[in-house]
Amino acid sequence: MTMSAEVQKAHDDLWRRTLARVPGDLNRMIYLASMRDYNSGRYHHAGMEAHFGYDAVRQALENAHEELFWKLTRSSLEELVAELSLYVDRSGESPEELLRTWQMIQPYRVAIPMNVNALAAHLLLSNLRLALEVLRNRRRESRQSR
Amino acid sequence: MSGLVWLFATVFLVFVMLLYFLREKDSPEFMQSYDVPQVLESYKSGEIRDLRFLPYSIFSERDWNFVQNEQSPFLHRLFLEERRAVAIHWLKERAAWVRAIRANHLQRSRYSKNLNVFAEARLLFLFFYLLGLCRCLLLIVQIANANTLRSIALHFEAMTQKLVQIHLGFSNYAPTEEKAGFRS
Repeated sequence: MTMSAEVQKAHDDLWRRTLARVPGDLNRMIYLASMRDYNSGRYHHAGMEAHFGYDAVRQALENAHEELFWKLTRSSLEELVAELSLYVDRSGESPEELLRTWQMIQPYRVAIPMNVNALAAHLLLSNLRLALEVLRNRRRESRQSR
Repeated sequence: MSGLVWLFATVFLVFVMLLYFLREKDSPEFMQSYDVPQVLESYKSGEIRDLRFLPYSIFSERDWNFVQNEQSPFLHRLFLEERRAVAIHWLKERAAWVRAIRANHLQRSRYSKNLNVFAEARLLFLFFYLLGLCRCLLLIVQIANANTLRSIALHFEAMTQKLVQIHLGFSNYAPTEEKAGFRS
């Protein structure tokens, strides 16, 4: 997707100053989803809007969100398990609690961008469910082997 | 002689089943409304071409090997269930594309003055081939491991993309009349 110059600047700034500090693509995708208003679906980043303007920032955030979505969707299951493991480790929560909560209420569903292909979204969500089970299974085995 | 009769009877039966199979009306949830101009715009913009990776991921041998190495029967079953669901979704979407393109093409060719019989026959064969293949895949994926269908699934995706490409070529027909907003 070609971007206007302002959007490109905002996009580059977002990656350089914000997303570079977030470890892992899954973390980044979830972070960008948190920039989206649940009621309107619009993205906001007050700091960036002051520099680049609302429209450019909104577009840049949306583009980055979709880029990360496609990157994760194209990943193998093994790569996604690694991403999820990194997310769990960096979350600051108890891994067992996080994995159980994620399996029960599936909060990752709201991390998907709005206008992406439904089939691709289905594939990523399905892979995340599998990745969760892989991690839970490994933890179970690790506890049993002690 | 009796062998020949059996052979003809079998061929006839297969033909009748195929005819029924292909002409059977689809349930509402199977038939999705696809706006053909939207499908074609998606193709021109590259979005449909970008989706070509999907069957490689859905029927991935690497993922299956990874899951098998985890040594968990529950995980194996979950993997097969999940991939089956995504495969069915993929097949239904592709079938909807084919139907939408077929219906759009039939409508446009009605108003065209420069039909190429050979090209039309080729396209007709492609429609039936793809829809028949899709139905077979839908049946098989319900009962077999989705990974066993990898080669044929990749072939199906390639042929569906080719159909969209061919239809884009046919869009250069000079229709004398067009109806807007067609939905299948």
